[in-house]
Amino acid sequence: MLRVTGLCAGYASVPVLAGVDIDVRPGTAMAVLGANGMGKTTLMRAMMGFLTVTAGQVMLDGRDLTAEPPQERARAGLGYVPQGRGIFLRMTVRDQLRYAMIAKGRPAGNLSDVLDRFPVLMPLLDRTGDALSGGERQLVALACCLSTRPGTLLLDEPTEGLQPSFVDQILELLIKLKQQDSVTILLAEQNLEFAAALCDQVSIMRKGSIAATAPVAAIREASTDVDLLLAGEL
Amino acid sequence: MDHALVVGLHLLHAMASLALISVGLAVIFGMLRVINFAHGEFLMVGGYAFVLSAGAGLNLWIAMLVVAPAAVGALGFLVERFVIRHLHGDIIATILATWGLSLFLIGLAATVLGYHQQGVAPPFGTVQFSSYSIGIYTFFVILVAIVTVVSLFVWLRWSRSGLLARGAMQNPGLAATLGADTKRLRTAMFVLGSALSGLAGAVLAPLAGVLPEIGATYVVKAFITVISGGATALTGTTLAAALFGFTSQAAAFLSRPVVGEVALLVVAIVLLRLLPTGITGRYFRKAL
Repeated sequence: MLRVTGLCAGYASVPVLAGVDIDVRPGTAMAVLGANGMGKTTLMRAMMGFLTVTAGQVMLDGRDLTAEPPQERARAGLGYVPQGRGIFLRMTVRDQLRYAMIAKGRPAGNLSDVLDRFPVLMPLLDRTGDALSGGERQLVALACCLSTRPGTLLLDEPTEGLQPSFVDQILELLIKLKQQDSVTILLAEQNLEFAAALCDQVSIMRKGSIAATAPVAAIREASTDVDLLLAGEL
Repeated sequence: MDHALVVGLHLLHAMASLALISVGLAVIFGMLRVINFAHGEFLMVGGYAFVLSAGAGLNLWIAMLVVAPAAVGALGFLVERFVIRHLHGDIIATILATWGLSLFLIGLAATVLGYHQQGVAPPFGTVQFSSYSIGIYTFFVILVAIVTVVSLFVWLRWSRSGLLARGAMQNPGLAATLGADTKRLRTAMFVLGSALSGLAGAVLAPLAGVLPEIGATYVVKAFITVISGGATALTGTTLAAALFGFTSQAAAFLSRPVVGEVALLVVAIVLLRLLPTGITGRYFRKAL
């Protein structure tokens, strides 16, 4: 269970989050939708420990992670794929996958496990990160994150700027993760269609707080209003 | 033939010395992106640790290969733990802090040990090539440089801890989200870079002697070499050290030592004009 209560955080003296409350049940997916600048990325970064939290709590499976550094959150089972395809640009894909396997102190496993899930990475193993396309980088970022075997996944706009074929691949993969491996997912998105295809619940974020939370079916019915909201016109 | 051999050895020695002077900075500045203006003083402390412990009767090789790197490694640990860690990402503050540290170490050495040069005679004696004689210690310096660079390369390329360190230096935030303890890894790499500087200071001490202000002769060359090497710090620094060492020594042979120093700077300026991101900014991108 991922529970965020009254979370306040920001950058230096600029507060961005103004008391965010989120509950994501185990094995389900929740999307946080919002226009640019509403605080989605700040929420993800604060939950992962990259920003100082001024108030509130981040709890994972009953454990308070609020004061823990990012690596402790990762070790507690929180996976994070940041916006902008966080990968090591000067490391080969093979080394990046090995890195993800050993970073938590586990013995290096077999790459075939992750390559079974991401066969498209097979011909890219000896390429460095800076030689990959945007879609390939996103897949590598996701593959690395999943190699750490997280129970809960934070995804920050994983489809941003990607061609439709990559978006479909990522969606298929995430649905499998949720349904077969019971991974809990919190997704920050602007792509309503993608969020609706993956998630069970949707929260709308406005000006640093959650304005509304509803099952995905209700959001589908109100999709015109949501589109306007995402465009910043409501 | 003998003349060519001796010239070749001097060229190799110049390249090796420059690589040794720069390799610690390649780790600290090239990989960790910490601008350590006290790098020259780290070499000075290594030199003094060697000279003083050897002078106190400790075995010469233990003083050089163990005590000096350990002393400067310990100094590096304290500097990282109490200064550098708190300035992470603030370039100006880091420059000022390490500059201050540099002045402090110079002042401390001058106050405690005086301004006179100290040293240890190069061990091994000389070897004769026809009418030329060359110190056997020259071969030792070349050997230490090769072993240091190759060991570092092998460790970073093939070991588990080397891989973890590479990630923590390239993208600490990402490494942390994957579960790596980046603070500990960065401290370890700073200590390693410091220890390598201590080793260099000790190995070069029998040839250059040690003075409180000797760091100034090392630090500029080291920064020029690492910056010219480019983003891929270890390979870049090694290649730049080879290029600059060769150029400066060849120019010194053809003219005077001061011309060799000027030649090094001219080649560095031309290189950075042609390759603004350094040698490995365009070539050897997959290297370490």
